[in-house]
Amino acid sequence: MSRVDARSLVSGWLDGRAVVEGNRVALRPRRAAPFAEKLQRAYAWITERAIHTPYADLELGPSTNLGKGNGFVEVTKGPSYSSFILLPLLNLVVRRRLVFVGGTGRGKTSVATLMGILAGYPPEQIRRAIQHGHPQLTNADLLGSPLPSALVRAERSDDVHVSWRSWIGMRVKIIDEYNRIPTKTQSALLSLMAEGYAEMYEQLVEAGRAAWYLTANDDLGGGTFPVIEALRDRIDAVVCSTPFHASFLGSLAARLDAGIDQPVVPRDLVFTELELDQADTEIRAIPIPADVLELLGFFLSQLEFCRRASLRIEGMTKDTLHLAGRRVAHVCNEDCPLDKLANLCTQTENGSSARAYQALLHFAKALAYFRGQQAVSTAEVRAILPFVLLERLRPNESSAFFEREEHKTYLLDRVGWIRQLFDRAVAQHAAHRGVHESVTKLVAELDPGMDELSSPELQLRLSLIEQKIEAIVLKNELNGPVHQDLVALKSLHARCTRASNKQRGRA
Amino acid sequence: MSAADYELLAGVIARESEKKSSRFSSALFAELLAGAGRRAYEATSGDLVATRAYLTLLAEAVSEGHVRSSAPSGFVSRALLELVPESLGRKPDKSRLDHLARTFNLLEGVASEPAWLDRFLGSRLLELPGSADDLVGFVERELEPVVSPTQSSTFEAPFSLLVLDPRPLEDEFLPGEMVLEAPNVVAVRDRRRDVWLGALLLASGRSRLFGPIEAPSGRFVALAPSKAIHVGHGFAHVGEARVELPKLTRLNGHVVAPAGFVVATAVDSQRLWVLEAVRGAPQ
Repeated sequence: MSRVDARSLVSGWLDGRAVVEGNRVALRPRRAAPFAEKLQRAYAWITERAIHTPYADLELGPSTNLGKGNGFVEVTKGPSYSSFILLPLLNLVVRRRLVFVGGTGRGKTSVATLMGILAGYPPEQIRRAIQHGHPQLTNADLLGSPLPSALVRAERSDDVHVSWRSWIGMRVKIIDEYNRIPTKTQSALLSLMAEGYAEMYEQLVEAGRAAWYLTANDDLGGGTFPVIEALRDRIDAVVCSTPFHASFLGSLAARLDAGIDQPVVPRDLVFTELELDQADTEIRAIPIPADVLELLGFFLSQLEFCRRASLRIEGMTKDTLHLAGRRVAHVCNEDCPLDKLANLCTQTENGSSARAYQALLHFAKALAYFRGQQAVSTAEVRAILPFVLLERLRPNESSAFFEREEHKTYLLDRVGWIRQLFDRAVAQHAAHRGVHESVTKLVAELDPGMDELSSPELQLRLSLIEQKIEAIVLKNELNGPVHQDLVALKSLHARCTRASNKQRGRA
Repeated sequence: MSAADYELLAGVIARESEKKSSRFSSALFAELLAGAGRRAYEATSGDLVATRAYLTLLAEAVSEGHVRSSAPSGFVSRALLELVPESLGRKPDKSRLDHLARTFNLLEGVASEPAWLDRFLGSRLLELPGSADDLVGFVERELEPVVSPTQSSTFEAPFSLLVLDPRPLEDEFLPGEMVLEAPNVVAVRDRRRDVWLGALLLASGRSRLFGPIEAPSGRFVALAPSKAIHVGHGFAHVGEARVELPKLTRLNGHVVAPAGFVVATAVDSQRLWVLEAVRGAPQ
């Protein structure tokens, strides 16, 4: 409260929102709430009034285990949210591609439909716009088709007027049971999702920026048709629907009594297109501090690492194995000296793509924004990570790590598996900090201004780098974290050598 | 308007509010309809126009969180649920809408300020019978010492001392953490429970406690006082001056309010010692 004269303050209040119009008191609109607050309201309304979820599985903050052995319950004193509601809501703003997986009747399509309504579409329109996957779905069913009369009259393909389906241009696109769509039609969907357009009779239709929601009853194991790999890679996040809980019955009965099929979304929760654009701009402006990026980079690089893939430092990745038609299981055995319980590399069959990392950062920013944070923290990254990597990261099921009784369930519970991977990476990062900081410091000291240095100075730098590499190799086991540092040093060595050769050329 | 019409009207307003706002609570509104709404209807002898306007504003107050329970807890909710329905009957038909719009705007203004202000005005409303007849005048008078420009005190001697007792407000209250809410308002937390009282610091020994209030917003940041202030067991040093704090044998904590006050609490007492720099404190 600013220090002002009380009379002026009250006088300002009296000129408020309530005004007399004829024989009514009308209320002028309130100043719009900031978008983050509006998202929070939407989340609260959905969880309290529209979709019942029995738990809040997206937890931030330190947790404690209550109980012992297999019967423990993990609780947190930090904030927690239902991923089944929050991630679709964040996706509405960041406008990426999200898949709901889970059994029939668990509310996947209902949540997607709610998102369409929050984006300002009338419920009837959004329901009509849902594309239902089935084995006979053709490109024409999905995208539209020319009128037969236009086909008959046309002399060239660009004479054909294609009547595109209206859902293509909507800001929210819902594809129900996408793993029941035939492969050929999946390709058309891929083009729409990946490139943002569809083509037919040499005519294009633009999809525009949109939040995509796809549903699958059994995404990992089944579906009528296998999902093509490129389409799967375009999925930015996967959320699982929540199971039935006894507490649902009470609210279902109450709705039945009140004759309510689905509650009406209040107007104050509906986002205009401009609001969604502005919220996304604000989300993108949320910074990711260097230490958070550093930790994430540390974690992700370990997923890629495989010491047995090559003798060359550059070849020690799982991609090298895959290109040779081999799998991690073929080489991750007793011949590899690394401890399978301590090193993360053994647990995964693959790393992930830059597209996934981008999605991870975008969702982490959105979560920080939703929580009203000024910057992304490790907590947001940890919370989002499983949902982005769920479909992308495959476990190396033959790893000795999974032979342990307490680790076997990680092969079934992928979210829990990815969380423990990250938690182990955090611990390892702390343990490896000494070596890593010495490398980072050396790179920071030696990297700048190489092109301006004299030949003896460059030689001195080269010998320093070589000494450092030798010292690290001699004193440390060549595992993922060390590999990351060696790659950085080798890259520095290459730059220094280039500068030195250039100097010699000039001389 | 008959009683049946009242029910119909209430249903329409409830449904419309539900469509409009995600924070509207139909359960709370139903309770209010049976209490405050019904009183407004009866006080106006079933005046459709006034009752409709009152219920519309009541629904808006629920949506905006100005009213969170059917039991009034502060100035805004007390005014809206108790004073307005009563006062409507005393107003001529033609001025009822103006009265409602003006009062709602006043209350929404109070609600937009830090929460302690609502509780402060609420406690003053109970202390000053008759103030409900002119709510605007009441709010202006009570706000004057709270919001008027206050220059930071230079903490010059002489000093006067006042001891405040929280027991009339909260019998078990044991002062603990203290947070500045404004240059002359301090929020004090009970050491054993999450209960807060407010202390309004006024010149000439007129400082007083009010509340309970909500946990402080923590939005007010005070500059360091111009003099070094040190409080110990039974005394305070303000610059060069030493002031005795009788019976404060074991200091628990203290806070310096820029308006020229030092508030101290003791480990073994429920009281608050308010030291006032006589020159420069708000009148």
